[in-house]
Amino acid sequence: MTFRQFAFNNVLRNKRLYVAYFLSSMFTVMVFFTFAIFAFHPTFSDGSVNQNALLGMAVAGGIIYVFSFFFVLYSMSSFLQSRKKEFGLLMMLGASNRQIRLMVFLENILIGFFATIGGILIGLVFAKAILLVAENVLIISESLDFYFPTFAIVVTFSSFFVLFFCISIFVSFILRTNKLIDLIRGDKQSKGEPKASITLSILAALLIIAGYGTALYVQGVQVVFAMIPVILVVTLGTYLLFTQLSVYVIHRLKNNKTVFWRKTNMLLFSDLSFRMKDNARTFFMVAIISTVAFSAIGALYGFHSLITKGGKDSDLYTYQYIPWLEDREEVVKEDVRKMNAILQEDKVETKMEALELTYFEPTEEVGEALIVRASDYNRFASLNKENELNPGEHEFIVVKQNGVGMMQGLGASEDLMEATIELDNGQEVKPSNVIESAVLPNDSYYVVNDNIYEQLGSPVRTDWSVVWKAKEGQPDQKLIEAGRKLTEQLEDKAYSVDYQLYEINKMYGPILFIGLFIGIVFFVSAGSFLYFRLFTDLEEEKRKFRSIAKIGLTQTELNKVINRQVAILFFSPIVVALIHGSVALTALSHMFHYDLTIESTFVLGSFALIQVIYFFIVRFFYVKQVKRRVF
Amino acid sequence: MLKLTKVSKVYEGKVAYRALTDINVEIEKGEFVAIMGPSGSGKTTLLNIISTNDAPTTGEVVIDGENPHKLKKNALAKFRRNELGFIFQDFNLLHTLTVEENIVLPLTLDGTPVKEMKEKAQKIADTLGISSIMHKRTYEISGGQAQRVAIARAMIHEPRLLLADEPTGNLDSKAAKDVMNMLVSINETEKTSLLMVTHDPQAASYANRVIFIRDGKLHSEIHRGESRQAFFHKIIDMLSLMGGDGNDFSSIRV
Repeated sequence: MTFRQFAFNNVLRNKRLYVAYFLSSMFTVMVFFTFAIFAFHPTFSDGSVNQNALLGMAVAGGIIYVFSFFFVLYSMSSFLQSRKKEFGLLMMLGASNRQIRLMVFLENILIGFFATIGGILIGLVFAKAILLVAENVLIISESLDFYFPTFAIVVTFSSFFVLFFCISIFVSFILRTNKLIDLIRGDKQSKGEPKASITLSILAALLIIAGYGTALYVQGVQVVFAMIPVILVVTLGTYLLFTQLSVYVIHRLKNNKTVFWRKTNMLLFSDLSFRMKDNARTFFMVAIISTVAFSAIGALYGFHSLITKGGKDSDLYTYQYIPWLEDREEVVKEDVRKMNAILQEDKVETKMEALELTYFEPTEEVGEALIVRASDYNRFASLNKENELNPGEHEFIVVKQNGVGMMQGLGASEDLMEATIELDNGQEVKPSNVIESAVLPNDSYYVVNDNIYEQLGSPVRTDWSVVWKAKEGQPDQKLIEAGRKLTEQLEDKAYSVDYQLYEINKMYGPILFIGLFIGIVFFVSAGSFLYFRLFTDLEEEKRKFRSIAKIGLTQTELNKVINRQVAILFFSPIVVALIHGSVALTALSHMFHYDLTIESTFVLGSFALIQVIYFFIVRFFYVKQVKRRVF
Repeated sequence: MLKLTKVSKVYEGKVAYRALTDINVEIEKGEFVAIMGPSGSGKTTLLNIISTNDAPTTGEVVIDGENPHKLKKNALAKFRRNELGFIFQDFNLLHTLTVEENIVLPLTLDGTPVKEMKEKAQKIADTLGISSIMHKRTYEISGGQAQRVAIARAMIHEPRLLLADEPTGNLDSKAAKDVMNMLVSINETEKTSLLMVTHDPQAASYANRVIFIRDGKLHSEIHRGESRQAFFHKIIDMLSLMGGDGNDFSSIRV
């Protein structure tokens, strides 16, 4: 048996110990590889996707790679922690530091090699699925066929070869072999409870409250400025929450004998405090990573619905025509004729309404204001089955575009309300009320009785607005196609909602997909951090439960202790992350003045559900493992 | 061979604890010495210091004219590998390796050619009567066999000093007797110096000399003269003289 054989045998015969590390390495390779399959798809390389999306994908690939590096490094070091005793024994038998490092290096190369191969193979299996998902999330004209991703394989293999090589070197250097005696006793020593100070615990609570308060209070553009300080404050608060506040609470519980000495509580809390230092760090990391995942996915999803739904809501008409200011009536007529021709050619059935917009200058302060006849307004309204307006004699109704939030002119309707309009006969009229409607595409305007309109005198400026409303039930594809032709042939004077949305989705799709991808990667890695935390101490737990079982511990009691232990580990960071995430998304909705409740509930709810399922799976295997040794 | 001069050990901590005070011990080449004492007397601390696992707070340890605590890390590893052999109460075999692989591990670390390792392993396995289990894994063998494997591992590189920490602690009386006989025969044939820490007067009676320590200080020492049986009684007498209650010591087997 040479030294190399020894190192390899050590891995191959001890699969159980290495399997967690192996799987998580394989997982990161798989993630990177599936992403590479997608990013290097031939459809993208022929230039049909814009440069920004490609740049975005490159950046995302980089993020995944850097994250993989830290993830593998973390898994590796927690894995090495659990093997202290083995290293101690080897050193006693005369292994030098260099030899232990060499052993770790060889192990890593071996595991890394198989993890890379395995990750690529599993990635190939999932390749079709990921391409299908991508095809549906993205709006791409061509379909993403399955292809044999030679380039992706080469890139993945070489990047991860480099990654594992660097980590092997890195880890074997940071493997500080401290005093032998500590190594041999290593697995029996607790890293101890972090010191809990009341001041810092209160500070933790204050920081989080302050962060939340600010995040929920600010509105509009302020959110952007508040974002960085709030993130810093809440991150620090979260760290203190886990390292101080939770320790403090457990301390108090331990001192309270009625709680601590009650049935299985003693086992649970003593265990929690024994591992508090490790746990606190894991909790913090998982909470922050999950928060990033939740907020990223929630924000992207919310933003997506903001754009699509916002667009659909404010535009009631399928097509609109807005001429340039200097266009004369003949040009307008010619354009409208052209548009109708295109629509007819494409067999899009529409109803058209046209209106000459007349601008008046009722007072100096308001300046130009659009005044519309009630009959004209109602003509447009009937096209959409909206409520008609019947202003009385001498009544001015201010109509405000609904859903106006971000856009400027927020105060325009107020200005119109303030104004006093003087009619031709010298009579002065005050506007009566404001209503919200999207019947005309303009921002704010007056609707007046037809009779009054005649008394307004001559307008200072006129304009045209022509709208088409497609009959319901026509396929979107047809509307989009006609919209594309209209937009192209009429130099942006024609506007089609469906085509516009299609364009937005096409641009936005890759971002959404990449965001989802990265979010899921973060979330799943948070899950494996928890898994590692749990299984690093598995042997110790088994020993502990076996000795307790000798004193007399029923299966139900064992179940109860383990259940609570795993539940605390799994849910305390996630609950914190969910709260963080919901606050972040609320702040986001304040920024856009757009209600994101449904979207955030959906996103956070699905993550919570996944976590619950994950909890049940892990608990099942964990209990099985412990029970096998105990009973 | 081994010389300890004024060795003391203080454990720092919230309450500093003095584990050893001014220990002076000398062991000749080829001598078999047992260290006895009640629980907490500092036996294992002393062994840890000799085995270079732990450093003394003051005092000096010299093994074969060399102070291992002054060696650099790599040189210390070489020193352990070449000069020392270890036997533990709980065997400390690597369960990922077969019996044979466990035995040759110290040579493997030294980079010995495979052929030479095979020969040496076979030879030592024959002497210890474990050649039939060479290809078994460590969880497939009994405690007595495991300790013999551990002895083989401790001996294969022909160390000059063999250190044993309660080698019979986990064994039944038959296996304990076999293991002690083996250690004695190794001591006699190979002229390996042997230092053993034990609770067990029966095991200690195989030694040439027994050193008693109590509360971290040397108490006394007795030499084996005539028969082992008489020596055993002298050890028992000394233990009771030390004032420990009878139940300070583990079961006494005769």
